[in-house]
Order: sequence, then structure tokens, then C-alpha cells
Amino acid sequence: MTEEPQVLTLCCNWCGYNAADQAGAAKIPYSPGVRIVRLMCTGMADPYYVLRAFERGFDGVLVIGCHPGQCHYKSGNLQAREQTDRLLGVVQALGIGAERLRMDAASSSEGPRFAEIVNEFTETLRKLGPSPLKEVA
Amino acid sequence: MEALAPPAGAPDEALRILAQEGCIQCNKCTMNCPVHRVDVTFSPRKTILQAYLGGSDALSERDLWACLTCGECQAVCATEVPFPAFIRAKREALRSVRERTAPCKHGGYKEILAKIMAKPNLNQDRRGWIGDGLQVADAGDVIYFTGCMPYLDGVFTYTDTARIGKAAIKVMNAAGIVPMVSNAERCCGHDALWNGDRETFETLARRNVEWIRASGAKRLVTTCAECYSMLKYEYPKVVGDLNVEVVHMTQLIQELVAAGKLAFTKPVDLTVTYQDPCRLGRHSKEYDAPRAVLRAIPGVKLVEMDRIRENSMCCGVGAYANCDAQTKFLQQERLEEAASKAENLVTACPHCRIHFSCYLDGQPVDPLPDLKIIDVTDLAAQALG
Repeated sequence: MTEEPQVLTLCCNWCGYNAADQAGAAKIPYSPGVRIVRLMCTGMADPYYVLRAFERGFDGVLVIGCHPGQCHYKSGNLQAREQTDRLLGVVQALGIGAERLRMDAASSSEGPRFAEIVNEFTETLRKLGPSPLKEVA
Repeated sequence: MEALAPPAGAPDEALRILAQEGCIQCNKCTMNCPVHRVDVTFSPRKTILQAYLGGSDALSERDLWACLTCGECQAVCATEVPFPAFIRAKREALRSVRERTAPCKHGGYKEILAKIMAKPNLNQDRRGWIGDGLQVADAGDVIYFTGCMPYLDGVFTYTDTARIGKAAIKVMNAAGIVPMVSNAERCCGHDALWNGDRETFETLARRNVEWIRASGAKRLVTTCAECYSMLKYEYPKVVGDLNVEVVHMTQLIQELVAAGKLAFTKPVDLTVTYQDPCRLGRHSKEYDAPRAVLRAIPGVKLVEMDRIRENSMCCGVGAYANCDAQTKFLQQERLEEAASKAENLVTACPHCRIHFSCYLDGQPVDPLPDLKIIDVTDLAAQALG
């Protein structure tokens, strides 16, 4: 069965989500396995959200916030970057693989950039195959 | 006064635990409860009375999570009413109603780690923190159960958690033991059990026992007081005999020193005081081994605090369920007590160390003198030279 990799995308309200919205409005195609959750800021992307997604069987988690220095709350995206970097080691130690967690930035006008990030990440996941935590039906 | 007893044949599991002993309402528990000192509305005596009279549903959810499950109430109780076990049963009952119940700190990090480790197809890499010059094996007579240490290292930035693990391997290597560190190891399930998630705990226990039995090892060493209490006392209740002898690192060091297999040659000139972790002390009744290790290290001067052993005060957090303003006041109180006796506070549980270090790293309520939090295993490794 060739199923699209399931990706949880945590987007901030101000940049990432607007970029996704723009990609949709401009009808730029991107992988249908992407699920978007809007947060007020990527700084509130708890380790719990990321790890819970893996526990539920998602193949990858993508955190998309504002570009550095452009956070609506000044430093939320920098905190998210720090948090995600720390989690990379944890995800690797758990055997899920650090490649399955990524953080990137797309400003509110970068719809094409959003689609590009998502498609590139999905491509990586497709090569990696399904997550080891995925329940085999 | 006649001992109170709950109604006969009570179907409630939590009440059944309380019913094993009769409460005489002497109020010693509440007077010794650390939470009661900072929040007068929290009272084990009142809670027990309510449970006996009107069913244990009278317990508010706030009180349910305010309890540190440190066991000071039970230690002073004339009839040893198992209050922490009662709280645990109530938390389990709440779990059957709601999926996520524990107000887990650190954004649920430990909770979700345990859930992931309960999954069957895991391919963990648990040895990343072990540095050069330390010897570990894939099989052997002695298992070193690292616990959640590989996942705490690097995440809790204010304390180097892997230091304890490295020290433990160094000490074991010095005594000629090459411990087995397995990638198949899972979380011990302590936090899951004490936060009411029995299902996750039992799954973890079964997965751990599988590889422990298959390894053919004779002993299992832990540096964590929580892992120790789980593996030694809670696992056999779920999965039967583990076929290994579970020992805490301090017990192993005490034994090795007594047998002449380990000698501390380098003096460590420190004045220290010792914090009894609740899971090693009151829950497992091991008070002497850590102290024996401290006495065996040349140069170490042990000055005891006023409240030690059964009366030792909790570090303020139990199973990552509680960390709030009350916790901060308790930590301030305990650290002031420690600082009045010595410059170094030694403990035998990585979590006591994490919680105290966290408090010192932040903004203490009142200024504290310089105080270092050290693990007893770390101190032993320093004395090896």
C-alpha cells in the first residue's frame, strides 16, 4: 500500500498558518498527508505535542514559525528552535530518528515557500518509510 | 478513642486500602505533612475522616494532586494508615474517567516518554551519553538500569544528569564489573504508576521483565531511587519474580567496599549533609547504605540535618505531578536547613537532584548561601582518583 506520509505541522498563527492559508488560496499543491494545527506561537509547541504525534503514529512533525527576529511575541520562535533542537536528541535516542522532526520558517506572504518545505519534508519521510511507532493494521 | 473504620464491604479500592488499618484521628499525619505547612487546607486526617464517613469522593481534585506521596504521614502514623497508596488508588480511579489527568510539569514530557516506551516496536539508542574510557557490555552478570537518564540529559539544562550514570559505570569498572546497558530497556513506569496510569505501568513492567529475564543476569543495579522502588517492590506484584537481585548503587558500593573490591584512595575534602529520597528511604527502608558510602570516602565529613531518615523532608515534587508555589516554599525550607549544616547536599536520587538544582537555578524565594547538590554515586567516583 502506498500511503502518503502523515505529517503533523505545528504552525504559528502569525506566519506559518498564514503561509499555509496563502498556499491554499493560490492553489499550490502539497502533500495530502499534512495535518495542520494552529498555535498562537511556535514557542508553545510543547515537547508533549511533538512526542504525542509520534506516539499516535505520525511519520513526521514539522514546526513552522516566523523567521528569526520576526516573531509576533519577540522571541517565541527562538524558544521553539531551542526546544526543537533539544528534542532532536530525544527523538533520535527513542529510535524514531532525528530526521523526522524539523523546524523551519515561512513568513505570512510565503505561500510557495510553505508548500516547498512541506513537500521536501514529505519526500524525506517517503524515503525513510513509515515511523517505527506506527501501528501495523 | 476507638479506631474509625470505613463501612464493611466497601467496593471502592481506595477505601479498601484505607480500611486495612484503622485511623484513630490523632492528627500526627497532618502535623507532619509538608504540604499542610504551606497550605493549611490540605489535611490527610480530614481526608481520611471524609473517606470513612462519606466515601472517598469527598476528596477534591486539587487535594488529590497536592499530595507529594512522600509518605511522611504514614511514617509517623500510629497505625500506619497507607495514605500515599490511597491517593494512588484515587488517581487510578480518576484515570478511568479521563484520559489525561495528571497536571504533569514540563509540558507532559515524562508522561509521553513513558507512553512511547510502552510501544512494542522500539529501536532505542540509550548509550549516547556514555563517554570514552567507560566499559559497558551487551550481556553480563550485572545489569545497569539507567532509567530515564538518557532522556533527561540535555533537556534539563540546569543539571548534568548523565554525570550520575558515568560515575556509576566508572565505579563499577573500578571494581572489575563491566555492566550490561541494554537498548531494550524501557522507563520503569514510576511516574505512570504514581500518577494513576496503571495500564502504562504494567505494559512497561512486562516489557522490561522480558529482556531482564532473557539476559540471564544475576543482579540489576540502579542509581535512581524511583527505579529501585519500582523494580524491587512493584514489579513482582505485577509480573512475579524478576529472577535478578535488584540493588541500589549505594548498596552495591557498600558491599564492594566491605569485600575489599573497591578502595577510595583520593580524599574528597567536603562537608556534606544527606537528603533521604522518599523512594529509597520511607518507601524502601534503605537509610544506612548511602550513609555508609559517605563514611567510607576519605575526607568527607557528614553532618546530619535535623529531619532525617523517616522524618526526612521531601524535595517538593513527587512523580512530576506537583511543582507550584508550595513546592518552592518547601524547597526553600529544606535547602536553608541543608545550608545551615554543610556546603554540599548529597542525595541518592537523580530526581531530588533535578528538583533542588532547578530551584537553585531559578530565583529562590529568599537568598540562599552557596549550596551544591551532588549525587552520592558522583561523590564516590570522585574519590577513585
